[in-house]
Amino acid sequence: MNNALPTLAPRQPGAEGPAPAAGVVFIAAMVLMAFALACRLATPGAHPFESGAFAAKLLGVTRGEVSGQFFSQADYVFHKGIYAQSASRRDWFAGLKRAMIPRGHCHLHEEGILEIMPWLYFATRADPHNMEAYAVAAYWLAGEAGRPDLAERVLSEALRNNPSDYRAYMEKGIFALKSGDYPRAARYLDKALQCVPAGTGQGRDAIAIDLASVLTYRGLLYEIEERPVNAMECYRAVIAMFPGREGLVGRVREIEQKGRPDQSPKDLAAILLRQRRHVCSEGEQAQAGEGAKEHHHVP
Amino acid sequence: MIGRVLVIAQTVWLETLRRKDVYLLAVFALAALAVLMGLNVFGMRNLVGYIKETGLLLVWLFAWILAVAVGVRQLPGEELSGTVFSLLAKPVTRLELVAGKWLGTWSIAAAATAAFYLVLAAVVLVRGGSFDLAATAQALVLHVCFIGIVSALSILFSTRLHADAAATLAAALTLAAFLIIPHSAGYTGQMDGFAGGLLLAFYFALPHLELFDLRARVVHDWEALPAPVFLQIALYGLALMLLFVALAWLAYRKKRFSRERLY
Repeated sequence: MNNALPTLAPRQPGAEGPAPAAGVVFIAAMVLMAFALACRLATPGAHPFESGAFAAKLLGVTRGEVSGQFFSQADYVFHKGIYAQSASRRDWFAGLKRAMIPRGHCHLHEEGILEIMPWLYFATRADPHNMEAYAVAAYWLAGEAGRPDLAERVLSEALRNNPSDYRAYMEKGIFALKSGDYPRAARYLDKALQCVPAGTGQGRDAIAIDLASVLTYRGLLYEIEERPVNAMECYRAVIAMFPGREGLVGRVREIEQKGRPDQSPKDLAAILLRQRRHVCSEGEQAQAGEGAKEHHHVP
Repeated sequence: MIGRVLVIAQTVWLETLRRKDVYLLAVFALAALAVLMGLNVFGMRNLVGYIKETGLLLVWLFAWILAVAVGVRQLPGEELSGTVFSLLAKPVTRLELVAGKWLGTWSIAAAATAAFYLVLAAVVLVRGGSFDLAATAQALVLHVCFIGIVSALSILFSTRLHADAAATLAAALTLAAFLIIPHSAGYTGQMDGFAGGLLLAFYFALPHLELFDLRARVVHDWEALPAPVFLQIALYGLALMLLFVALAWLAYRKKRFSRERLY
């Protein structure tokens, strides 16, 4: 026994301040209270990672760029990793590189489409304001992937993260229109019209195209509601923006002359929604008619 | 000679395993894979493509880190500890020392890479995915070539620099060769005169490490590379490895050791 070592005599309660057990209980109580308060204060569904707060802290202003990269990766996966190669050089290295990458143009189909979802998911996590990523995810989930339930969920999340972005309401409205829920579609499209930003800033062309789409769909819904006057107002607004839209000009003329157009609004809505499909500039035949939205191809 | 080279390579293995670099990277890789597998992507949990892609990216990253980290510390480590004096006093030539260090670095990084591939394959198979066997085998072989080149470059720089400087230089050069050099040829047309010529010289002189990357083929289930293309790339890799090991030997064979300079 080494006498130099201090002996550990049992501590007398109350002799030197509070007993250690009291300190442990106090700390445990504080931890429990902090946990309870955190649970109380946290909004359901507003987990830092889910809401993008984590990405905002980590990435700062570069989050848009990072999100864009994930979006580009989704496009790359959609094209099965095949991209157009530049044929500028004819040296040995360039020849090997060309031989390593298959040629052609192909896309993922059916359930395979789901493989782009993680990259769109990462894009929305990096920047929850990347509406395009939400829209593309919802488009493919509702369409070829056959998961409209998940599409609805994605759009609800988009709306939660972008409550003042007209595109969130536009996508919700179009989704409701596809599902045949016309009153709901009308509500969302009206809200989209309210949220469209005014002015002539950057991206005005894209906004004008979106606005024309929303007005066209809203006009068709007015027709379904037997309110042709309101429908004509919408169509005229579109024609004022895009005078070259002959189909819409003809439709307005038919309503004016006969009271109702030859093609029913439901049929036209179905055609427009079908045209609002993936449109690829090369390879597959693109049927980009009036109202077709090229941005639904992962660009 | 071969026997002595193998013994030196074996000491590299023992030293690396003792330092636990491989285990640390394996833990990182497994943790990252576990996080990826646990992701709830818009309510879907059975997706596998992104695990393949991200997993292979991690394998490439870790293999590169391992090759550089192990390679650059071999020769400076021997010199710092003074063991190089007793080593070279034995019947070991400097060529054998350089070759053994390179072989050890290459083989342990390659073995760790193969193990990472196996773990990733197991994860993908468990999730219901698949790998094209031929394409994956080609990808692994060319990946091993890449590791051999990076190991040789690391050894080459460490012959004349201390470990930190060699690591920085090897990392910068291999990154540039992988990410920038392949695209540099596209800019030569936009530059005229000396700058364009210099860029073109870099394009041809520096190693084209991007050729060894067949990840896209594995991830997107493309068929295996045509044999002539694969063989050309593998031979190119072998030539680069031999060139860098030879350069390392040339740089090391007349080196005068001075402990003070390395401190």
